[in-house]
Amino acid sequence: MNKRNQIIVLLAIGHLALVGLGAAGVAFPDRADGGVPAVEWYRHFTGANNSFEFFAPGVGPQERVRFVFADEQGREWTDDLELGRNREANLSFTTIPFVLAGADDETAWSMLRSMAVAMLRRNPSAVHVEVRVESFGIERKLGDGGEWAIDFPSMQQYRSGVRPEWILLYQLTFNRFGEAIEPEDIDGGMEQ
Amino acid sequence: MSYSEISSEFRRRAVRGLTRFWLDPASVRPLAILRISVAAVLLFQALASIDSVRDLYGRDAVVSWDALQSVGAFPMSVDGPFHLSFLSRQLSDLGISADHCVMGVFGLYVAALAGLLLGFQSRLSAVLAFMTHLLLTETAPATTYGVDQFARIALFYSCWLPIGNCLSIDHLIRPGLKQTTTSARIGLRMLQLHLAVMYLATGLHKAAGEQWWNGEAIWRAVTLPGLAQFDMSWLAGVPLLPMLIGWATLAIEIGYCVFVWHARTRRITAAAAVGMHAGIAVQLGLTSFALLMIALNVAAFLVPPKTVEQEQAADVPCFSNCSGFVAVRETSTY
Repeated sequence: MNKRNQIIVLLAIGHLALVGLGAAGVAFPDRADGGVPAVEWYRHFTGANNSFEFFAPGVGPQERVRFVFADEQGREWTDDLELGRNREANLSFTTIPFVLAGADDETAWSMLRSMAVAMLRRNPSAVHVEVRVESFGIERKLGDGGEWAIDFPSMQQYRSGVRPEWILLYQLTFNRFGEAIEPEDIDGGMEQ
Repeated sequence: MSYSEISSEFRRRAVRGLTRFWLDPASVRPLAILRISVAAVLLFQALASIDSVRDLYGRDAVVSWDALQSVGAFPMSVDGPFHLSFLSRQLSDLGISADHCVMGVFGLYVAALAGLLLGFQSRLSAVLAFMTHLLLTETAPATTYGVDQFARIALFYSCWLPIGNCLSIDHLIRPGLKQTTTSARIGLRMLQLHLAVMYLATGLHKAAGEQWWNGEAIWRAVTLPGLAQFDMSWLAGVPLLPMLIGWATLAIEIGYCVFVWHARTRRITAAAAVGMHAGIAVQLGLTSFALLMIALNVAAFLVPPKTVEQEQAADVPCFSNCSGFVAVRETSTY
């Protein structure tokens, strides 16, 4: 094995070692903790930081974002995030609720506001839009005395007649300027 | 034979085995198949989304550039050089709007994928496809999912490997391009090992939860409204079936990294993975993701990496001897 090949193979093994660490979910220290930013950038830009946790350890309940528009006359209509002309395009749009679910409060608020503004632009007759984040499942208590959570019904529950439904997690209403407005500020009020 | 002689023989064989595993010249054909299939799948995905480019990647997209300002640290942030806002700011001095900038980058991405598909200026096409894909996905992280993650990996490898040496316009223009190279072997090994690591990791992550053992993961996946392609609610009446499918998924993913290397089990292992992804495409409608994974599996393990001349010279069925794992098996017997 000549020197050139040795170097190439070592680089390949080094890259695969980073892939392995990423797959194992090993987090690299950030700059403040002595981490090397260049390594983190390399892992990120090459996909070597991927932990491959597809549908793992389980499949969670699905979330969606729905928009309820209202015009000056109080007429209401709805739309959703399936804005593409086919399923492939819609798969990208319907990824947004999953990202939203994992976002911090500030980012989630910005995303909701952005969606509201974009959807109002597509619906020029609307004066405001209610952005509803919903989850598909059933309400279930986590452990004895635990908190209520939304989960998908098990096969056993389904057999016993339990059916999942879209459950409202939270909602925000925005006007055409992208300002969040309270329901009582809306003429005629809004259904809660 | 003394201990030192055994040790020396072991080292010699280990080095020989590793050298063969990594450096035995291989046909460039599997990498050409990788290039063509990855480009075809990504072109399919890109063209399917062509009407939604502004809504996905534009400054005023559904999730706008401003909305994700607090996400990611430089250079992965909105101010970083890998975000379309950076390019847009540079081009605004030339009178190019943000919209035109986004459409231009997307157009370049599609052109680069077409170049990759045809094998025209393959290396340049691969670099352009990787860079433009990086720009688009870094700009719109809220709309990227599995297919984009694997596209990045596949395009990154395509930048470095001899992907255009055959089945390409490059080869027509330059017939002298080598058809068997050491770099093809290294590239193939990287792709193979990456897939093995990926399947092992995703299998172990799944096995850590109970849903894949009791069938609930399969039940949920095929009945969630965003994924379900058919009414599969009847599965609740036959819980054994989703449980067996869950076990089979774990067996394929965890077993992949073991069985895909052995000549006798390679084809059935890779075929099982291909079948699993075909099932994902049909049942969950994740078409481009499934096709991309099938493309990676086919290129890595189902296209013989030896040239016709080598196969004839060896006079053995290609799959019995061509993976180079034979070399590892030699060393592992000690």
